[in-house]
Amino acid sequence: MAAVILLLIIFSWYYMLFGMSMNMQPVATWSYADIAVLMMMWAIMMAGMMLPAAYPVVMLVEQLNQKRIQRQASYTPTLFFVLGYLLAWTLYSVAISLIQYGLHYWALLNPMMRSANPWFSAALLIAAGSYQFTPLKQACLQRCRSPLSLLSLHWQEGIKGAIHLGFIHGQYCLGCCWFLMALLFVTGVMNLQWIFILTAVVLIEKVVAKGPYVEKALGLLLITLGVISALSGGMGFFN
Amino acid sequence: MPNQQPWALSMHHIECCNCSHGCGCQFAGFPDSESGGCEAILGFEVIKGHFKELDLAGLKMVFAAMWPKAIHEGNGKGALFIDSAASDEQVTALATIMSGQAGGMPVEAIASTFTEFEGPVIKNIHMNSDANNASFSIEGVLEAQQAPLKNPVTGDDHHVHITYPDGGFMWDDGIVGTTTAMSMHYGNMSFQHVGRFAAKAIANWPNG
Repeated sequence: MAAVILLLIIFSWYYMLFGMSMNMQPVATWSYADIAVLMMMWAIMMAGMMLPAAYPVVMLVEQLNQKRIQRQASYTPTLFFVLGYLLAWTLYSVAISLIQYGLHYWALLNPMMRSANPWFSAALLIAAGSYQFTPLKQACLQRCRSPLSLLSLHWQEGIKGAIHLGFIHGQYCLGCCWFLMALLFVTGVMNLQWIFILTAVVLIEKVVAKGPYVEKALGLLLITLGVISALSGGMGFFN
Repeated sequence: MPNQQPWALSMHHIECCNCSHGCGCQFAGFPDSESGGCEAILGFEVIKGHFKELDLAGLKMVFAAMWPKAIHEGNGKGALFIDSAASDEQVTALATIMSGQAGGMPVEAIASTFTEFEGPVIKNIHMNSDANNASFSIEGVLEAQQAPLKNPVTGDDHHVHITYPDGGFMWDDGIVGTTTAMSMHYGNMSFQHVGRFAAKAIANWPNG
């Protein structure tokens, strides 16, 4: 199972490093196919960025399954658990792609898929930073960091049970990270440096014992960047 | 969860560990102990319970465990002690349940985090399931004495509960206290933590 997850991560990153290419023409000229490609790109990006953080949970499910298989009890196929997890992020990818389409339409993003408006960048940074301190974010991170509770409270057998369990865990991670991922609009959706930084941040928040401190430090940092961005007015921090 | 397991336990659950009074594991999966690991002893007295047709009411057991990091990160060592009042059949039943071999949460999830598991060890267990001053001990092996938290200003007893309206990992409502004694010395498991997290609850397993 470890190999399968690793392959999925490698495939996603290979795509991000070498495969990503998008229609950089103004959205007015986009076809449905272009939008579908955009959704797919987001979905693969999310898999590459979120799976490293999900690895410990996946392995815990796998360990439990191995013991169940040993004593010939019914189990929760790990691959379908991963599928359920990715399903949550795929739904997010569909939504964020439609939002991105709107942002292009309103000229808040340039054709390079990067913020075209310093005020928009500043607002997004401050909002994402503030979100780090909301009860919703804290609750999601707590549940995300506590995989044993997930297993204890939501364990279900069979393929459907596995997808359901993965989807529940995916929702917690989604509640943690959806705003962080939206920051790619500030830095450029296909900006590999930032994709890498965000992946690392998500991983640290989730699997390091002091993660909640990092969560709040990150919030402060984002708000500060946003304020600097706003104060520098027309210049913009990232623009 | 489709409950195919032929067992159920409703127990006094007396929990003592090396975390501070909030116990990080209860909320965010990570211990807030100095070492970053979890060291705990849990006493259980079965109020009502069965394994298949076998009645388990009245039995006592103690579960001791050490994990070098967060529980879910694995590499745990565990030991199960069962009171000498249990019959051979009952010992087998409890050991099967507590080692996760009969399935059912949360034991099955916990069991998947162990690399070493010792027991069942048959010993005389003394246990008092009082709500605020619970205690248990096995002579020469382990000891735990719970006490209420104190108001730092007035010195009065603090009545503190941790409650999970939607269901908790091991129990739904726990009386939170502290320990005036907590030690474990058996085989390669040895630790002592006084004045740390303690909880007294009623556990109903399998949960979920």
